[in-house]
Amino acid sequence: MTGARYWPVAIWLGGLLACLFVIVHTVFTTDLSAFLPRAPAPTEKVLVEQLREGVVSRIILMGIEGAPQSALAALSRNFSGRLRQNRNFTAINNGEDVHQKNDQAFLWNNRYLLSDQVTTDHFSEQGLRRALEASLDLLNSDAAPLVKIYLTSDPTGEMLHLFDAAQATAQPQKKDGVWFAPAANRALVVAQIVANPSDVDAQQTDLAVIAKAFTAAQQQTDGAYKGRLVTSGPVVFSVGIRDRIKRDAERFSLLATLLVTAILLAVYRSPRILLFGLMPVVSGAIAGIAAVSLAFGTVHGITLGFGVTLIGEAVDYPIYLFTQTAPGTSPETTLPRIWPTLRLGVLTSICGFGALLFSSFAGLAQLGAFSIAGLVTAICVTRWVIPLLLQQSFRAPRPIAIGQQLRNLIGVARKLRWAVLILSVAALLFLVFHNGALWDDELASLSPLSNAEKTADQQLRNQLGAPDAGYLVVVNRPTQEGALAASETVGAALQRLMAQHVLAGFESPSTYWPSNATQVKRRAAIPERAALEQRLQEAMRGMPFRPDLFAPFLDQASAARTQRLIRHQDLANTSFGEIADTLLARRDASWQAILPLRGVRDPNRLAQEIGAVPVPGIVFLNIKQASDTLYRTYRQQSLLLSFFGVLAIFAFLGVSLKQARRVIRVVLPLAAAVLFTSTLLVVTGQKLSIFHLIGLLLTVAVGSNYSLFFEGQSSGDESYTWVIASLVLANLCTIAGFGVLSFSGIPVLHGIGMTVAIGAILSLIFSAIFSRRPNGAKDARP
Amino acid sequence: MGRAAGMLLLCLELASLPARAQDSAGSWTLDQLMQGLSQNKGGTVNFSEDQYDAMLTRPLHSSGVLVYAAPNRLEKDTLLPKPQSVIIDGATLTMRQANGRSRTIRLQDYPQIGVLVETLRATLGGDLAGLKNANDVSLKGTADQWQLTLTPDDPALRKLVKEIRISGSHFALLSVEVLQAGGDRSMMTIAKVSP
Repeated sequence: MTGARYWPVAIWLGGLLACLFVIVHTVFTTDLSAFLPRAPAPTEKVLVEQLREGVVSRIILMGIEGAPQSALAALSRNFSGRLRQNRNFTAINNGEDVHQKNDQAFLWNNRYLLSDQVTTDHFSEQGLRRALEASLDLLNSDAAPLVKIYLTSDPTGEMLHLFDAAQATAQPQKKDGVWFAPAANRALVVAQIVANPSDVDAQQTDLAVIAKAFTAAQQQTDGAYKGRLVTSGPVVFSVGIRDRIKRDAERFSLLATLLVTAILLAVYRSPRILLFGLMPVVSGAIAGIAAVSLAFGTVHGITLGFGVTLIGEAVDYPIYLFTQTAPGTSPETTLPRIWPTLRLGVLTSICGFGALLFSSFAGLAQLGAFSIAGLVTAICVTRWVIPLLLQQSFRAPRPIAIGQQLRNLIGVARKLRWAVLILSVAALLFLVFHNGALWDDELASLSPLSNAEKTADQQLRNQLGAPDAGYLVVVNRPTQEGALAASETVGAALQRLMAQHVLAGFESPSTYWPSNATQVKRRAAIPERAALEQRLQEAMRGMPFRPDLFAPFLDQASAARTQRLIRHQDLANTSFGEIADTLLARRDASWQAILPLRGVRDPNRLAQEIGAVPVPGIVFLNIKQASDTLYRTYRQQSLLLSFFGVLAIFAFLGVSLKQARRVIRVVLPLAAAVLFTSTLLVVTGQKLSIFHLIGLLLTVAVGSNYSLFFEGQSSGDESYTWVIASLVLANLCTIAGFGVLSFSGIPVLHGIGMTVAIGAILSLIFSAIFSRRPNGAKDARP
Repeated sequence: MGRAAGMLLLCLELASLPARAQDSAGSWTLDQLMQGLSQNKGGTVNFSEDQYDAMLTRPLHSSGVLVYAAPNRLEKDTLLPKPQSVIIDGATLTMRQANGRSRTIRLQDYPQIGVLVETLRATLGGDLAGLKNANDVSLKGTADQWQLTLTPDDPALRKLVKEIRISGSHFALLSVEVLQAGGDRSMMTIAKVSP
């Protein structure tokens, strides 16, 4: 035997090595970005940014419970104190006034720069008179002691005004000086992490830090009461989801592999053949990863996980080869017989998956590229490499007996073709006229979170009275000053809308850090000392204030005229600094201000009014609506692409098979299988998601092999029995592999697994039912 | 903190609601007074208040009605010179200012107000143990004319309120005087609503 014959093996091994080299240098990502659009609209872009990096996604909600109130409060203090030492967190809030002194000093020292009451009119004689009258009213009320503290330095009430504004934000109630859930014995803590929400490893570290800090706090806080920590929020979820998907994917993939292996071993009774049986699919997976890496630069974890299931049909190729090889003959003699059908099957699948390549979602495009590269590799290995390695001595045991029985069964089954046709039309009509939503259009439906977890999260959120993360206004400007000025413009519009009860409140970076322009304007509104004194004297006429009472005010107000403007470092170690840093951030070459909204009553009106605010690049984001719209776009696009994929398959089959009758015989069973499977899913109460759609695409890819083999065979041939046997075996492997996945609680695994398992078995049955009659034989042959 | 002081005055004023109970003979003791006060289920009285403040050249005068419903609801409605009100109901306190601005706080958020409200409830409800829990309490005079003096235990609270003097006759409160740390004081006199 000459070495020259073995060049395919050399190419295969060389290719594998090259692919492995690429894979070793591949960057694997787990962030959501691959499953978000590549060329997003402004709203989508902001949504994606917020989901990837936003404040909304950096929050950890915590509750401490299971001990008496005093013990919980002590735990909350100790635990939060520890976390504040850690630089992984930008803010830890448990209701303690850790910044109270700094906060008050900051407000007091900068009251004329911060108060939006400060205008020229405010310091006119009439303005001062109004302010003094208001102060007198307050003095003659139960708030008198409060007013007295500030009266001589601040008769115009700037400090009270700032206090009122600060108090307006919703906060949980306090017991023993820390936040507690209303009517529940649970201390509340909120942490904000530094790590990017897409960095799940860092988030996992943060959660470990939290767990460790809590254990240490438990040990240091005395008493028999240990309490326990409950955590929730986006960070906890993303870590949990990753773990769960990883665990389920590993567990079920392993189970599926074991089942398929067991079936192949039981049939072939040879570890060597088993090894050859798995060779194409493994090679395909390796080539698929390398191809995606080369084409996209990075490979997404989901591509990795689900790509392998997409090329599951590659396991079938060697089965067809082995099972259809006649005793005493070599696989190389089998190949010319089955190759045209096999090739047609692969190309059909490629047509289907090829549609995914055009998706504007990088994730779907990656899955398409992976499948195509994987299937091409698998079929090439089956066609050129395995026959060489098997040698002449190969002899696969074949379950002929089963084939014989099935052959008879198929003869009977053909009678059902009209029934299947009628039922298919019924299924089509049912789907078209289905009363109710066929598709699940909520992004949340894709989340693997249990309802209990969602409820617990909502409960913590409500208890914390956290601003609902649902609505944001986002502004991008080239400079920091510009972003602050823009948020002031937006803030003014929001104030107007608050008065009309369109929303209850909002936060803005400029509340405690006004733009320089605004600060300068406020400074300039204060008159010189002499003028101020004269106006004050006039305003005080007839009022019971002691004449020299407001000397401190005259000094401080006139000093504020030349006061240094508030800079970023002035906000350090105040709660306002934390707010400003959270809401104002550098993004690429620009500055982004975020204004979270509270208590939104009329989102449509709000969207309309925000759109009219004269700030360029302003975006009003309704996160749930935007996410669902995004997902709907995603799903609709996938549906459209699948449709084109099916068209491509038809066109391809038309060109290859040439006769309409043959095309129909191949296509009808697949169409019937897709219709039956969809109807079955809907009837059993499932709303179809994108995962079911991918499952249906897979059904067509796998099923087309069945119908092509049936179509390509005349049932009078001797090989017909072998073909049936090989199809049943391949089908068994597919059902085992995907059926296992349907037991997963994770929507993506469950959806794909269930759809393909049902779809594959229906495809096989329908392919048999619609197959050609044996030459010259009657249908009802006993 | 400042706000807490404001509430303090309020609470003391509310503490001055009259109790309607039967007199008892013999020497006048705290126990007797408290026992009598504990019979009070509520009612409405007029008040008239003067605040003496070093910042001002003359005292500020106000008047209105006080409403008490045992055990949790207390209301001070000032009618003159400008209408405003304060309502303590259960765990919340609501202030409506002369300018129409209204705000509600939770008493838990302000521990010192919490202490004052407890003192107030103890006085109105005749709970001597509760009263002594946060104050130094002394009683002098006779059943016909007595004076109850309360000094807060909490040093932080004493920086705002030095002493509270409540005078009365039998189980009716007649006046409440609050001495503030800076020398300022307020004097409230109480009269039954004229029929």
